[in-house]
Amino acid sequence: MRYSYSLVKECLKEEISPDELLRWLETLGLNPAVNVKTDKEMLFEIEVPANRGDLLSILGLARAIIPFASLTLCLPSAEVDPTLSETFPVDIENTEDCLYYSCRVIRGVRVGPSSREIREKLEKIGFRCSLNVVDLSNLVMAETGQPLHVFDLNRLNKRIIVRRAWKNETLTTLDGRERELDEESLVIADDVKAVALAGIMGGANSEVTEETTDLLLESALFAPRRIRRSSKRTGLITEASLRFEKGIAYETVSLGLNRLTWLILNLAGGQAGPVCQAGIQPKSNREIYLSRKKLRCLLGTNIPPKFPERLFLNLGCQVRVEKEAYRVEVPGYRQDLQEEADLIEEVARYWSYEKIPVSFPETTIVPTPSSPEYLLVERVKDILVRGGWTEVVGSSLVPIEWLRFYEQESLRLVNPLSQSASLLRGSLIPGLLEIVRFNRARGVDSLRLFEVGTIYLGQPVSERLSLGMVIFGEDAYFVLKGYLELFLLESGVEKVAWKKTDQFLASEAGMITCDFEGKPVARQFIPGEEITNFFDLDNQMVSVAEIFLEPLKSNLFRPRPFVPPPLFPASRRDFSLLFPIDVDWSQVEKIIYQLFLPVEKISVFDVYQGEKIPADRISISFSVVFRHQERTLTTEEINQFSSAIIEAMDKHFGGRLRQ
Amino acid sequence: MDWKSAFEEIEKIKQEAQVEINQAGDLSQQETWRVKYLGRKGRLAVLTSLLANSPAEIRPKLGQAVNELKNYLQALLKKVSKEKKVSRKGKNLSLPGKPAISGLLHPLTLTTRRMVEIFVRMGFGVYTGPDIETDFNNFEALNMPVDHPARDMWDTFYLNQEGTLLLRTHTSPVQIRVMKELTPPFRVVAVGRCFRRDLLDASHSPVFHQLEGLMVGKRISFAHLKGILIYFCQELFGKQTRVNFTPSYFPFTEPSAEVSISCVICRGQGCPTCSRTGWLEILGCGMVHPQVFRKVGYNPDEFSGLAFGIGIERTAMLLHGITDIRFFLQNDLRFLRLFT
Ligand SMILES: [Zn+2]
Repeated sequence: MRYSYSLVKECLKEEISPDELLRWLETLGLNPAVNVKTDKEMLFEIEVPANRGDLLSILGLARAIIPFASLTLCLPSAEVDPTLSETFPVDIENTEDCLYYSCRVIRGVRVGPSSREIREKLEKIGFRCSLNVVDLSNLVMAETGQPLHVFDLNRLNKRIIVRRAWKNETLTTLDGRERELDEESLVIADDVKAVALAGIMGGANSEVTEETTDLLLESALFAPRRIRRSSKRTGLITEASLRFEKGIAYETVSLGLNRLTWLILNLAGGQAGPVCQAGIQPKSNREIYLSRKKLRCLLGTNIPPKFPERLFLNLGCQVRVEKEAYRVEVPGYRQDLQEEADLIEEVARYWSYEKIPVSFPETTIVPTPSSPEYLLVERVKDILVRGGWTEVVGSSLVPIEWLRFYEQESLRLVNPLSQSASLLRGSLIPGLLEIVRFNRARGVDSLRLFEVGTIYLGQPVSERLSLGMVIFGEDAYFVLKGYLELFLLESGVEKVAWKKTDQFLASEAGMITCDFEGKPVARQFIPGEEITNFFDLDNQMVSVAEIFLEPLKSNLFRPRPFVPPPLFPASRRDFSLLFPIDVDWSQVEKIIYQLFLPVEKISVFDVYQGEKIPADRISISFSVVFRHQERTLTTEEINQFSSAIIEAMDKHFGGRLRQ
Repeated sequence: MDWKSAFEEIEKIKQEAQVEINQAGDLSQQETWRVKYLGRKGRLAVLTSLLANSPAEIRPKLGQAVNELKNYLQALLKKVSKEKKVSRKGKNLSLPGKPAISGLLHPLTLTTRRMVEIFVRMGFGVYTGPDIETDFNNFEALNMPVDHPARDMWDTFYLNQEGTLLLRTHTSPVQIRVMKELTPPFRVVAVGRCFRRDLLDASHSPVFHQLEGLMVGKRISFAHLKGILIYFCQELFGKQTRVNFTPSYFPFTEPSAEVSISCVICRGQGCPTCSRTGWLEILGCGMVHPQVFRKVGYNPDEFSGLAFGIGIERTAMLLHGITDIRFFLQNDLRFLRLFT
């Protein structure tokens, strides 16, 4: 809300300077933004917190600074002696929507432009001026915080009823727009039609014009929740609705009505009738118990007992001081003060946070565990960074076109900001490929990236921790596979065994997957052209892997067992064999291990396909390391083992020694 | 270009492609060549799209020419990729070493770790929570019942029409989860991803990260809140950093405060980063609201607690002088490599 120093000053008996005002508001944490400042005037703006509806008024702001210098509040003139006896019938359909409604007839008013003085006051605090009676109702709203409405009495039919709108009922509001209403909205109606959207905006059909002479003033107490719903429903947020949804005190309703009547009678003439009302008159004062001990403990400091007492009196409360506590009766307009903690905050704010000491808790040490997910994620990052991989962090919200890259049902936002960020990622792979594309376009020629992050599934709605890896460069597939195996071994998968499957997004070569404790834990593939074309990449240069981290959680931190280094030397033999071109290497290893020879390790060191060998053959050169735990192996033994391997290769795969 | 000059264009492409591929020494340059000629938006693709709009009488002839070009380009690429690269040999010790490959952590991870480490030193455990939250944990249990005006402080992405499932707007729902799981006294920090329906600009991102802190015990006070957070700020930004607490409003803390530090750029003299105030708002905090305790079944007369929330991107931006929040999720390697 916008405020002017001169209006605030009108509410106080004592003189204060603009600088004092500014300093006090800053102490209260209200962060005033000053737009204009001279010796005599200051215009400023405050973003009022959601719980401080009372500050949406000059009066409320004045009340808030009173305690800083024990100032005296000066309420605006509002004494009215009705000279008419005319009443107007009022009805409330449901007092849960509208607790209290009051109105008053004024006849014989001169409607026209406002005086310069009034216009200046209003323009300083950001209101646009129109007819005098409307301007005055705005001024009273700014002064007291009470939203008011002025009807042309002669355009109302017989009576006022506060009711829910009917289905398909329409109302043209003062801004000239026709609004379609439904039962969620509350309207003010006469005998035949809706004449205002209650608490939000008046209707054009009962608007005051220059021809108007007779008025009906409205001042009411609508339920915050109803106005908020109605305002959300119609998409109409006004100065009035903002105040109603934060809550208004019952006392303010009558102050507002009388103040507006007083101003109209004094500035635009006319004769006023008595207040006509309906509804209940809610008791708005509350008594809150504040224990001195609690105050001391929560703030961690001793505040002199006189300070809270004087503070609450200055804030307009009644205070009863007991031996160890205060009983504070809080006025209705301070709706934010609901319980003990609220009073403690009030004491702290006026005492100043700066004066509260700084200390560390004296606490019993009770170890608090960290969550395994956090430790897992950080451990995984360390393993990969050690291997030369670069961490990236992608967005969870991705373009709708990526839908086709997710294997399972995806999750969409109900209210996205744009189509390019309307889907929740169902895999890390497309995001990683996009990062590769982005960096390729900027001249980076080889990339090894990973992301550890959450992916989201739609059926049922759930989320999962995933590790994605992408490599771009020469020999991408095999380089990644090597790191992936290393990662899995370091993560506690004792033996990495790959299965070949056809999979979603993979190229014709298919995909390899690895299980751990019966659950799939990792998969790697060369992405197919559909996805690589989309991200403008050559699929021979790219490979991707996805690892599900949940199953690894338990093993990652298990201490590795000690194994003594071997005492006897190892022997190595190299083999170069021609295999059928589609040989399954995992089977080859399996067959060698099944010979039950003292084999320690098998590794491939060269692969050849080309003109020097038949077209349906692949040459694989590999070494086998033999070692016996209890003795040194003899050359004869090694020769025997080698023959057995060559024989088995021939028998199972038609593998022949390369000539 | 229109279809009339297409035949000329095809000849031109052939010549240029031939010259450029001979200059492409290594695989990555060959890949650049491939994207330029055969890529999704490459020169061949432009011709192919042109083909669809060419007049019927010319289409077969043009189609054939485009197809020939495609085969020609593919053959060029195949031939070159077969040729072996020359390896660097010899004994000239002045030649540069092979470029070393090292891994990097993302600046958000680096910043998070620096922050977490300070709290771990003070005995805090580290927690996480899901990104998908219920309305209850994100709002209601944090003292914002349905239709509470304070909900407007967070513009929310919803996952269902009823509005019961959403993407958390802050890490504060982890407070609720932790309080339900643990018994006081305890102290934890939680790190995680948050979502707000804010338009992306230099200082706002709909996806961002937060660090949340919560300590609950028998006599936790505002003085302790100050002690812990001043220590944190001075450890992170330097011992000379001044730390200021001003009143603020959050529905789930009472009293609530906002913490500012003396500007790390100008050291309090006033500069554009701090809007010439000399101060930077860095985090929100306060004492746990009794209503929040009641929602999780704690007795507010028995326990008190302190809580705080810090934006990780903002902290990283201040630590490193990063000027635009969009760098974090863009993952430009030239950016990432700055923070090793
Ligand atoms: Zn500065």
